[in-house]
Amino acid sequence: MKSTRGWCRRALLLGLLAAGALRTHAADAPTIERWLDLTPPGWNPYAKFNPLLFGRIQDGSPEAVAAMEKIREALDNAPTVDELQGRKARLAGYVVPLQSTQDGVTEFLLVPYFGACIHTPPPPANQMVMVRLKAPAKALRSMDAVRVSGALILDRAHTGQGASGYRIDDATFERFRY
Amino acid sequence: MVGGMLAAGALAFLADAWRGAPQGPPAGQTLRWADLVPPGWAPWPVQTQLALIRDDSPAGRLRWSELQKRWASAPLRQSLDGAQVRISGYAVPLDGGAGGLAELLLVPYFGACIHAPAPPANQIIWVALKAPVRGLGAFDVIEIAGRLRVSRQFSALATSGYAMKDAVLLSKKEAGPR
Repeated sequence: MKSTRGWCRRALLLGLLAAGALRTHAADAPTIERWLDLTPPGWNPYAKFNPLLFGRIQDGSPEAVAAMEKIREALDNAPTVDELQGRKARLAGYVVPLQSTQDGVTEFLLVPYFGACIHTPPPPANQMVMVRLKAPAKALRSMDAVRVSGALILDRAHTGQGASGYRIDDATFERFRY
Repeated sequence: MVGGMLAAGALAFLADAWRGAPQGPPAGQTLRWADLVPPGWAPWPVQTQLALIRDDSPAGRLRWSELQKRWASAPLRQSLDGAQVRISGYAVPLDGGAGGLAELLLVPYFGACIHAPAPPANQIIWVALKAPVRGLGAFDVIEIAGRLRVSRQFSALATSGYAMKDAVLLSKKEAGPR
């Protein structure tokens, strides 16, 4: 009994050490600053279609519309990069507010380009980060340009504004201009 | 904010001076997408941004279409005319044949122009490849090199502000544009 407990304790200790090592590893790795790093290398749902098909999408070609429907589904279920769990990130993008209290915005989607989700279809889920702020931000508005810092969490969420593949909790941010 | 803008402008000016503008960057310099935007130009006036908050209001939609007109006539960086550059971005196919893709738009983010509005003209390069390339799909990440021209062109999918003829495909990349 005692030895079992000892073994358990040792295993637990080892586990904690390993988790600690992984955590340190994730925290020490270079900060993620580029949106493309959130996409698994080579992932591209457009690739299996004839590249010239999409130029005809404006004409409402049935073939193009059908392809686009398939692609939309792939974009909303876009794969994330597993190794990014816990990685520090500092991403520049635009705000799509989700939640706010009287103290200000508490939760928003960070998107990579102006107008995304608001006036245009959402980007792929691996290009959308749900941000939960450390402190509510009073004067934060839709499409404000911000640079968000925090640790990435792999978490798929379906919001009214589109599907996100990552989340950052206790996030801080700074405003910027291009 | 104004101070910040001035500082940013001053930095951009210094960067230009260092690079030897207005002759443009030295041969084969790697361009970042931000280099294509004249310093100080804002993609949207603040009041427009405020009005964009509501997607479904008719006023919001009207402002959005106004904004897109502004983007199609976005100012270009004349000092880049004739510069020998390399740049990476996402491919939006325009034309090609059995030999492969021959003409494309190079854009800075995944999803631009196809089933989504185009970015500002100063963020789109019309590209004619020196030799058609097989196996290149929509939104593949590529790096190209060639002589950049400041030239506004209208294609089926967007108004582009820059053009590169006889472009050479350096690589299909998994590391992304900046």
